[in-house]
Amino acid sequence: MILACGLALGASSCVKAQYERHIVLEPVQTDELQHLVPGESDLAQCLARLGAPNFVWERSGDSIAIAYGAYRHQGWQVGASVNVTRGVNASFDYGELEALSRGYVLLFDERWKLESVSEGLLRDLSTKFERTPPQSVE
Amino acid sequence: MRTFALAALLLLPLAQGCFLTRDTTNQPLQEERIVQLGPGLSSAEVLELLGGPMEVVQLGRRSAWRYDHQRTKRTGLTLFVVTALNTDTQEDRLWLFFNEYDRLAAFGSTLQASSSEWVLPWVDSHE
Repeated sequence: MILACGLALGASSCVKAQYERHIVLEPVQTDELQHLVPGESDLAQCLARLGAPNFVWERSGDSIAIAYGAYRHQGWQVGASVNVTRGVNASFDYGELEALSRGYVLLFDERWKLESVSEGLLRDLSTKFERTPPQSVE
Repeated sequence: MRTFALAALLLLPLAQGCFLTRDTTNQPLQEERIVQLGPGLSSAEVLELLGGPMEVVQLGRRSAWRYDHQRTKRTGLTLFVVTALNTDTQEDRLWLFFNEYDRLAAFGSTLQASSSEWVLPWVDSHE
Protein backbone atom coordinates (compact mmCIF):
# COMPACT_ATOMS: atom_id res chain seq x y z
CA MET A 1 0.00 0.00 0.00
CA ILE A 2 2.76 2.46 0.99
CA LEU A 3 4.80 1.47 -2.04
CA ALA A 4 1.85 1.98 -4.38
CA CYS A 5 1.10 5.41 -2.86
CA GLY A 6 4.74 6.42 -3.17
CA LEU A 7 4.87 5.32 -6.77
CA ALA A 8 1.63 7.11 -7.59
CA LEU A 9 2.90 10.35 -6.08
CA GLY A 10 6.15 9.99 -7.90
CA ALA A 11 4.56 9.21 -11.22
CA SER A 12 2.31 12.25 -11.03
CA SER A 13 5.17 14.51 -9.87
CA CYS A 14 3.17 15.77 -6.88
CA VAL A 15 6.20 15.70 -4.64
CA LYS A 16 9.83 15.90 -5.48
CA ALA A 17 13.26 15.93 -3.95
CA GLN A 18 15.87 17.38 -6.24
CA TYR A 19 19.62 17.41 -5.85
CA GLU A 20 21.04 20.14 -8.07
CA ARG A 21 24.51 21.30 -8.95
CA HIS A 22 25.19 24.37 -11.06
CA ILE A 23 28.65 25.10 -12.41
CA VAL A 24 29.05 28.45 -14.11
CA LEU A 25 32.44 29.20 -15.63
CA GLU A 26 35.88 28.46 -14.27
CA PRO A 27 37.62 30.69 -11.71
CA VAL A 28 40.89 32.35 -12.67
CA GLN A 29 44.11 30.70 -11.58
CA THR A 30 45.07 32.40 -8.32
CA ASP A 31 48.77 31.68 -8.84
CA GLU A 32 48.66 33.88 -11.95
CA LEU A 33 47.53 36.82 -9.80
CA GLN A 34 50.79 36.70 -7.86
CA HIS A 35 52.67 37.76 -10.99
CA LEU A 36 50.72 41.02 -11.23
CA VAL A 37 52.27 44.05 -9.56
CA PRO A 38 50.24 47.21 -8.87
CA GLY A 39 51.97 50.24 -10.37
CA GLU A 40 53.99 48.10 -12.78
CA SER A 41 51.77 45.61 -14.62
CA ASP A 42 49.69 47.01 -17.45
CA LEU A 43 46.38 45.89 -18.90
CA ALA A 44 47.95 43.78 -21.68
CA GLN A 45 50.09 41.88 -19.17
CA CYS A 46 47.09 41.21 -16.93
CA LEU A 47 45.01 39.95 -19.87
CA ALA A 48 47.87 37.71 -20.99
CA ARG A 49 48.03 36.16 -17.50
CA LEU A 50 44.34 35.88 -16.69
CA GLY A 51 42.60 35.66 -20.06
CA ALA A 52 39.48 37.58 -20.97
CA PRO A 53 37.57 39.12 -18.06
CA ASN A 54 33.86 38.62 -17.52
CA PHE A 55 33.18 42.32 -17.09
CA VAL A 56 34.76 45.60 -18.17
CA TRP A 57 33.56 48.77 -16.47
CA GLU A 58 34.34 52.42 -16.99
CA ARG A 59 35.38 54.40 -13.93
CA SER A 60 35.66 58.12 -13.57
CA GLY A 61 38.62 59.92 -15.18
CA ASP A 62 39.34 57.46 -18.03
CA SER A 63 40.27 54.72 -15.57
CA ILE A 64 38.74 51.26 -15.86
CA ALA A 65 37.93 48.11 -13.90
CA ILE A 66 37.84 44.53 -15.09
CA ALA A 67 36.36 41.59 -13.21
CA TYR A 68 36.72 37.83 -13.21
CA GLY A 69 34.13 35.62 -11.58
CA ALA A 70 32.66 32.14 -11.47
CA TYR A 71 30.32 30.24 -9.19
CA ARG A 72 29.12 26.79 -8.37
CA HIS A 73 26.49 25.72 -5.91
CA GLN A 74 24.81 22.48 -5.05
CA GLY A 75 22.19 21.24 -2.65
CA TRP A 76 18.86 19.63 -2.07
CA GLN A 77 15.46 21.06 -2.85
CA VAL A 78 12.44 19.31 -1.39
CA GLY A 79 8.86 20.35 -2.05
CA ALA A 80 5.66 19.91 -3.97
CA SER A 81 5.35 20.69 -7.63
CA VAL A 82 3.27 19.81 -10.63
CA ASN A 83 6.20 20.07 -13.00
CA VAL A 84 9.66 18.85 -12.10
CA THR A 85 11.32 21.07 -14.70
CA ARG A 86 9.80 24.31 -13.42
CA GLY A 87 12.37 26.78 -12.20
CA VAL A 88 15.22 25.16 -14.06
CA ASN A 89 16.78 27.87 -16.17
CA ALA A 90 19.92 26.93 -18.04
CA SER A 91 20.30 30.17 -19.97
CA PHE A 92 23.38 32.19 -19.26
CA ASP A 93 22.78 35.53 -17.57
CA TYR A 94 25.47 38.16 -16.97
CA GLY A 95 23.36 39.81 -14.26
CA GLU A 96 23.17 36.54 -12.37
CA LEU A 97 26.88 36.00 -12.87
CA GLU A 98 27.68 39.36 -11.28
CA ALA A 99 25.22 38.81 -8.44
CA LEU A 100 26.37 35.33 -7.46
CA SER A 101 30.04 35.18 -8.37
CA ARG A 102 33.06 35.38 -6.19
CA GLY A 103 36.15 36.55 -7.94
CA TYR A 104 38.50 39.43 -8.49
CA VAL A 105 38.18 43.05 -9.56
CA LEU A 106 41.27 44.72 -10.99
CA LEU A 107 41.39 48.52 -11.05
CA PHE A 108 43.49 50.35 -13.65
CA ASP A 109 44.42 54.02 -13.80
CA GLU A 110 43.97 56.31 -16.80
CA ARG A 111 47.14 54.88 -18.42
CA TRP A 112 45.73 51.38 -17.90
CA LYS A 113 48.35 50.53 -15.29
CA LEU A 114 47.22 48.18 -12.53
CA GLU A 115 46.22 50.02 -9.34
CA SER A 116 44.84 47.24 -7.17
CA VAL A 117 43.36 43.75 -7.02
CA SER A 118 40.36 43.01 -4.78
CA GLU A 119 38.80 39.65 -3.97
CA GLY A 120 35.21 38.97 -2.97
CA LEU A 121 31.65 38.92 -4.23
CA LEU A 122 31.57 40.78 -7.55
CA ARG A 123 28.31 42.54 -6.69
CA ASP A 124 29.94 44.03 -3.60
CA LEU A 125 33.21 44.91 -5.28
CA SER A 126 31.47 46.53 -8.25
CA THR A 127 29.62 49.02 -6.06
CA LYS A 128 32.82 50.56 -4.74
CA PHE A 129 33.40 52.72 -7.81
CA GLU A 130 31.28 54.72 -10.23
CA ARG A 131 30.57 53.01 -13.53
CA THR A 132 28.45 53.57 -16.60
CA PRO A 133 26.06 50.96 -18.07
CA PRO A 134 27.16 49.04 -21.19
CA GLN A 135 25.80 49.86 -24.64
CA SER A 136 24.25 47.07 -26.70
CA VAL A 137 25.18 46.68 -30.34
CA GLU A 138 22.24 46.00 -32.64
CA MET B 1 -1.95 -7.34 -1.97
CA ARG B 2 -1.54 -8.78 -5.44
CA THR B 3 -3.43 -5.79 -6.88
CA PHE B 4 -1.08 -3.32 -5.21
CA ALA B 5 1.94 -5.20 -6.49
CA LEU B 6 0.50 -5.13 -10.00
CA ALA B 7 -0.18 -1.39 -9.72
CA ALA B 8 3.36 -0.80 -8.54
CA LEU B 9 4.76 -2.73 -11.50
CA LEU B 10 2.60 -0.79 -13.93
CA LEU B 11 3.65 2.59 -12.46
CA LEU B 12 7.33 1.74 -12.27
CA PRO B 13 8.21 2.64 -15.88
CA LEU B 14 6.48 6.01 -15.45
CA ALA B 15 8.43 6.91 -12.35
CA GLN B 16 11.90 7.23 -13.81
CA GLY B 17 13.64 8.97 -16.63
CA CYS B 18 16.71 10.80 -17.70
CA PHE B 19 17.64 13.57 -20.07
CA LEU B 20 20.60 15.35 -21.60
CA THR B 21 20.28 18.82 -23.09
CA ARG B 22 22.66 21.31 -24.65
CA ASP B 23 22.10 25.05 -25.09
CA THR B 24 24.46 27.30 -26.99
CA THR B 25 24.65 31.05 -27.43
CA ASN B 26 26.46 32.55 -30.42
CA GLN B 27 29.04 30.81 -32.55
CA PRO B 28 32.25 29.39 -31.02
CA LEU B 29 35.19 31.79 -31.18
CA GLN B 30 37.75 30.70 -33.75
CA GLU B 31 41.26 30.46 -32.36
CA GLU B 32 42.80 30.74 -35.82
CA ARG B 33 41.27 34.21 -36.11
CA ILE B 34 42.23 35.29 -32.61
CA VAL B 35 45.91 34.54 -33.27
CA GLN B 36 45.78 37.04 -36.14
CA LEU B 37 45.03 39.84 -33.68
CA GLY B 38 47.83 42.16 -32.67
CA PRO B 39 48.39 45.61 -31.20
CA GLY B 40 47.87 48.39 -33.73
CA LEU B 41 45.07 46.78 -35.73
CA SER B 42 42.31 49.25 -36.57
CA SER B 43 38.74 48.65 -35.45
CA ALA B 44 37.78 48.25 -39.13
CA GLU B 45 40.35 45.49 -39.57
CA VAL B 46 39.05 43.76 -36.44
CA LEU B 47 35.50 44.00 -37.74
CA GLU B 48 36.56 42.38 -40.98
CA LEU B 49 38.33 39.59 -39.10
CA LEU B 50 35.79 38.84 -36.36
CA GLY B 51 32.53 40.50 -37.34
CA GLY B 52 30.49 42.67 -34.99
CA PRO B 53 30.97 42.39 -31.22
CA MET B 54 28.23 41.44 -28.77
CA GLU B 55 28.91 44.41 -26.52
CA VAL B 56 30.77 47.71 -26.72
CA VAL B 57 31.82 49.48 -23.54
CA GLN B 58 32.80 53.12 -23.94
CA LEU B 59 35.84 53.93 -21.79
CA GLY B 60 36.10 57.68 -22.10
CA ARG B 61 37.77 58.29 -25.47
CA ARG B 62 38.62 54.61 -25.68
CA SER B 63 36.46 51.50 -25.95
CA ALA B 64 36.33 47.78 -25.30
CA TRP B 65 34.56 45.14 -27.38
CA ARG B 66 33.30 41.77 -26.16
CA TYR B 67 32.82 38.59 -28.20
CA ASP B 68 31.43 35.50 -26.49
CA HIS B 69 29.98 32.04 -26.92
CA GLN B 70 28.34 30.00 -24.13
CA ARG B 71 27.63 26.29 -23.96
CA THR B 72 25.42 24.78 -21.25
CA LYS B 73 25.01 21.05 -20.77
CA ARG B 74 22.35 19.67 -18.42
CA THR B 75 22.10 16.16 -17.13
CA GLY B 76 19.04 14.90 -15.29
CA LEU B 77 18.08 11.60 -13.74
CA THR B 78 14.79 10.89 -11.98
CA LEU B 79 14.04 7.84 -9.87
CA PHE B 80 10.56 7.90 -8.33
CA VAL B 81 10.40 11.26 -6.52
CA VAL B 82 14.12 12.02 -6.51
CA THR B 83 15.74 14.01 -9.31
CA ALA B 84 19.45 14.64 -9.75
CA LEU B 85 20.29 17.58 -11.96
CA ASN B 86 23.63 18.96 -13.10
CA THR B 87 24.07 22.15 -15.12
CA ASP B 88 27.48 23.05 -16.50
CA THR B 89 27.97 26.37 -18.30
CA GLN B 90 31.29 27.26 -19.87
CA GLU B 91 32.23 30.11 -22.15
CA ASP B 92 34.54 31.39 -24.86
CA ARG B 93 35.31 35.08 -24.32
CA LEU B 94 37.36 37.68 -26.11
CA TRP B 95 37.78 41.30 -24.99
CA LEU B 96 39.47 43.85 -27.22
CA PHE B 97 40.62 47.24 -25.92
CA PHE B 98 40.99 50.11 -28.38
CA ASN B 99 42.88 53.34 -27.72
CA GLU B 100 41.64 56.85 -28.53
CA TYR B 101 42.88 56.42 -32.13
CA ASP B 102 40.71 53.34 -32.61
CA ARG B 103 43.72 51.05 -32.65
CA LEU B 104 43.88 47.76 -30.76
CA ALA B 105 45.90 48.32 -27.58
CA ALA B 106 45.31 45.10 -25.64
CA PHE B 107 43.21 41.96 -25.83
CA GLY B 108 42.57 38.79 -23.87
CA SER B 109 40.85 35.55 -24.75
CA THR B 110 39.53 32.57 -22.77
CA LEU B 111 38.33 29.53 -24.68
CA GLN B 112 36.56 27.09 -22.33
CA ALA B 113 33.13 26.47 -23.86
CA SER B 114 34.16 23.06 -25.16
CA SER B 115 34.96 21.90 -21.61
CA SER B 116 31.27 21.88 -20.63
CA GLU B 117 30.31 18.35 -19.57
CA TRP B 118 27.34 16.05 -19.19
CA VAL B 119 27.87 14.53 -15.76
CA LEU B 120 25.71 13.69 -12.77
CA PRO B 121 25.98 16.12 -9.83
CA TRP B 122 28.01 13.84 -7.60
CA VAL B 123 30.71 13.28 -10.23
CA ASP B 124 33.79 15.52 -9.98
CA SER B 125 33.84 18.05 -12.76
CA HIS B 126 36.30 20.87 -13.50
CA GLU B 127 38.07 20.16 -10.21
